[in-house]
Amino acid sequence: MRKSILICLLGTMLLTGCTDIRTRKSPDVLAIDSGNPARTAMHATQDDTVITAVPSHPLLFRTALENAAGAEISAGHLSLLLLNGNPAELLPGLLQSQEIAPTCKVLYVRSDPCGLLESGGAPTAGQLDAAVSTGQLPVRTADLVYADLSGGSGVSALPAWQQDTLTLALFDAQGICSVLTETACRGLALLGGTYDTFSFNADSAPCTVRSASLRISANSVRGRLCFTVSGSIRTETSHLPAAELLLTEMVSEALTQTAQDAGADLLFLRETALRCGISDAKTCTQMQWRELLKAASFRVDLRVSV
Amino acid sequence: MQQTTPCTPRWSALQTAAILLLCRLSAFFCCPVPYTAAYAKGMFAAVLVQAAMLLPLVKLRHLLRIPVPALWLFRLSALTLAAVRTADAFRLMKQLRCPAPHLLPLMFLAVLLYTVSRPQAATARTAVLLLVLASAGMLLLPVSGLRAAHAVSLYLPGNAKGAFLREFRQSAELALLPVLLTNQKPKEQYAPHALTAVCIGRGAVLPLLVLLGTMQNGRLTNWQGSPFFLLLARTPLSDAVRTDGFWLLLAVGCAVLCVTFLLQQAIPQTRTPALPRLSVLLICTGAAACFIRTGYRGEGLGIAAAVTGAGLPYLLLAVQGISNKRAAFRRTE
Amino acid sequence: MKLNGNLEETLTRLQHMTGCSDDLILSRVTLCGIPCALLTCEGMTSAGLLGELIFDPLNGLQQTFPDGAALLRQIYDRKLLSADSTLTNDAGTLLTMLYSGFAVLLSEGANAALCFGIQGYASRSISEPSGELNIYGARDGFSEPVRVNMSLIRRRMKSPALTFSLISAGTVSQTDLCLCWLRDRVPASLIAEIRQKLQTLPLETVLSSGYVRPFLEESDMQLVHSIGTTERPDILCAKMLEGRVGILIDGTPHALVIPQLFCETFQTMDDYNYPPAYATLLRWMKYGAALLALLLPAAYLAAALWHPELLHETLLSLLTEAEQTVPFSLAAEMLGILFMFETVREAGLRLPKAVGGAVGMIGGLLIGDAAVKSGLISTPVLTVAALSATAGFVIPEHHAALTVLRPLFIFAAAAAGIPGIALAGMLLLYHICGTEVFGFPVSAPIAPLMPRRLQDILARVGFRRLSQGNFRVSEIREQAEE
Repeated sequence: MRKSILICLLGTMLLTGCTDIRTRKSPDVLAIDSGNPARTAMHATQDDTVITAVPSHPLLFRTALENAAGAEISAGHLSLLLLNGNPAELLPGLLQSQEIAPTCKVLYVRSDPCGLLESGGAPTAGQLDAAVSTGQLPVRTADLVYADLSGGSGVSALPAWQQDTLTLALFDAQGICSVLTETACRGLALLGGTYDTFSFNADSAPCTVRSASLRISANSVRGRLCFTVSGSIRTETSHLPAAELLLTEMVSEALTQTAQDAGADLLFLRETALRCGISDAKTCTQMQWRELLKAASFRVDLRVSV
Repeated sequence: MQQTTPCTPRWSALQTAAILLLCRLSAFFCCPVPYTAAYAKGMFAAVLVQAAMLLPLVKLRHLLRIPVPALWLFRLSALTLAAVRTADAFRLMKQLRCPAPHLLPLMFLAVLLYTVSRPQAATARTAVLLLVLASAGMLLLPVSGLRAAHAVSLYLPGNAKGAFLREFRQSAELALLPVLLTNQKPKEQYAPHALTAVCIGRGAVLPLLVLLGTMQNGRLTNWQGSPFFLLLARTPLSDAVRTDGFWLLLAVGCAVLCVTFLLQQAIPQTRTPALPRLSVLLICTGAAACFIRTGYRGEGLGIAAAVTGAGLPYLLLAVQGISNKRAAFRRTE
Repeated sequence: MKLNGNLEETLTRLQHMTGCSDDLILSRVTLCGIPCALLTCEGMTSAGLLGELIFDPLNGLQQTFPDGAALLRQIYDRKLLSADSTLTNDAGTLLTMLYSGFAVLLSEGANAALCFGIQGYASRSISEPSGELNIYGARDGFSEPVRVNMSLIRRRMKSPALTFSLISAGTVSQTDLCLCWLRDRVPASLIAEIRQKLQTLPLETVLSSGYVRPFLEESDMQLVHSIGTTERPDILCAKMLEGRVGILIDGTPHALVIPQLFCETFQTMDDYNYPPAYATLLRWMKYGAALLALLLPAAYLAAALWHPELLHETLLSLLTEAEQTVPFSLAAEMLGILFMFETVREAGLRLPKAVGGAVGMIGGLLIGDAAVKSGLISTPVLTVAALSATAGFVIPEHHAALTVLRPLFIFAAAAAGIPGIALAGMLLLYHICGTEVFGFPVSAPIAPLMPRRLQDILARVGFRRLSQGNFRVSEIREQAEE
């Protein structure tokens, strides 16, 4: 009996379909153009080449690229995804089918991401990391974008490449809603707390945030939601009043441009409301929550010290 | 009616607890329901209710005599559960894009053929080893996971009632507890110890893990797949040191152990000839294939097995009690 | 065949039974007027002892005896010629004694023979065991003669509880096996079970411990031995103190130890000479080495073939680059290297020492280097295989199992990646956990879990704590049987 089991085991194992690693391509940057016709391009790390293909559907990029490259594609080390379509349509499919890792960075390029990749003008994942590290942008990986689209108010923010600069764009199920200003982006980064260094100029004097402890609370005043951002920020500056003004402005801008103007819930506002006992947040739909956010008031109460 | 009290093999409290915990862990790994605080709450409540239901059974286990038809019912439920768990494991592997999707079931079958042929004591010992490994992994998980956790995610809306019912369904292996209890070592305290260990493991560790996952996975409640592996993929440490591989090893190991245990309960003889073993295995994998093809997740079967496990022993005890009283009454007449 | 009182007839029968073998030395002599014969086996007795203990006292006998039986009885009862002397009336036993180095005295009219133990055959002197080297422990190892080995144990344990019991095994060779145990620590039932198995060994000869072990273990297919071997008397003594049973086999310097737990194969005598912290570190290093030896090639293959995201980008690109010129698939390459490694190892092992080293050198350095340079194999795969093989040497006890299991894991990894490794791992775990010997599960004390015993498994605590609650292996059997 044991012998038959062994033979059975070895037999099944010998029927192996080992892949050939020699011809495998591993992209670090992938571009998906959702236009008509769809296009896709990838930068292969092995030979530093860009391979392009025309898939029948943007989600079928892998098959198209494998056919074009004549090799297996392994997207395990994909660090940056460039897209020009609606992330609400693309990202769920890509993530659920495990085509990209949840922590993959995503960048919105308004037109021709494949061309940008081919021309070598596309930003790198390192540039995005640097922007996050210096507090220019908050962390926005594929899973976070998808999470905000599927929860909260159905609006999410995605890093966007616009006129050779990095910024944030807001998306909902219909497509792009707005593009945030640099101040709002910085405000979101400050609220997210994912930066390593956060420096800016306050009245020409350099200012660096040493530590920040920010908290959002919510209450309901006559049926109208009111969110308050409070907390303390320790800075290193010679011009404290200007720094305080600027930091408050950043946070206010972030809240105004995301929640108030676009109804975007990027800062766990719905969960905050639930924590504070606002029952509307539990039962309302995404669209209703978005409207509630648009109607909500926001207050910023920061204590900035040196 | 012929009555039976199976007495071999005898497992220690830890071994029984390890098997039941790993069966639950296997279902936990494969469960595609997103983590929420309500999930943890429902899970905890279900464990409390189960503990309350099982405690009297543990106390009364010496009185329990399982008639042969009931034993066959238990065996049938074990076989059904084995098919459900096999289907769950295959679904998980498919969802995780494991390689060789056609070869893997064959290998799984071949491994089961060997493991089922081993003595039941081997299953118990392997369970203890795997539990030690799982515990070590569980200790490391919060260390890496808490860094990116958002406590506010705990306020995400969820369905505690659904989680409560799901917990019952996913702990259907408890249905086999009456049979396992009679297999317990004669030491009086072993059965309560085993039950306590199972309750602590399922009532404290798993809900805490769900809470950690809730804080880590945040709003990804639309994720169609194992939230546990999503948690791993999103753990910051996993970029540098990938822990997914270890948990994938453990998930497959738990699935093998769980199905082996259930199949051994379905064919309890330690030295069963190869043909019945093979046929039971084929029935199990055939049913699993049907479940996968039809998309059936074993909800009804799981609940039926759980109800059988919880209710049947009491029913048996009641029937036996009545018949004993009648016999005593006749004797006095 | 029983002896009768006719000396000539007895001698003729014995010569017939031995086929007039030339190593049988027959010396006819008349003692006190009675015709006698002294039989010895060429090279098996000590000439000095023969003269000193037999010839001189017998020549000095002045009494008169009615017959040969009275003469032998007188010598046996009144003369202490040898510490090990016995009377036998069976020709078969007589020959066994004769070929064991006894001198046999036959006498006319006596239907028994008197045997004197004056063994003096040439044997290898006691030397340091080559297979179990250590730094601080004793340097003496078992030798081939079973009686020498018995003395090595007795020297270390002067306890009256230490018991030796000789059993003859092998229908042709009649090899001496010696059971040794501490009576107060081993249940009599266990000894009876072992003795029964040894007495019914269906073997014609016992030439090494490997002949006996399979008949004591549960299955021939066992990859993990449940019965250990040792060349060191100090280790056997330590094992016996824990309630184990040793079996010494005449003609081999390896003693068997029953039972051997899987965890113990990672322990060495030196562990108990080092400071606990260092010994613990060493032990964990060994566990790590065992995992590396078994899983590294498979894990590497699984990661490279199926889960490249588990490898760092730089490593992956290095690997892909290195593989570009190699004509074989990764799995074939790995299996090929491991096969070559085993071939070179085996060649080095069997050749004379002077040449063996050179073969290892040529195999390891020249062939490896040439194969990489010629593009037949890639450096990363060679590195992984070499690391795995070297790690395997840390636990020589498991070399055979590792050699068999490595290809199994490689096949599984190549076929199905990490789930494949998990399935193969479950096979192995079930195999280990299902292995028992005389009711002792080899997976103890982890499964069944005995937390108090983990102090010598997960760590090596200090002797003060180790000596509290002395460990007996019988605890494991009791726990498993409870």
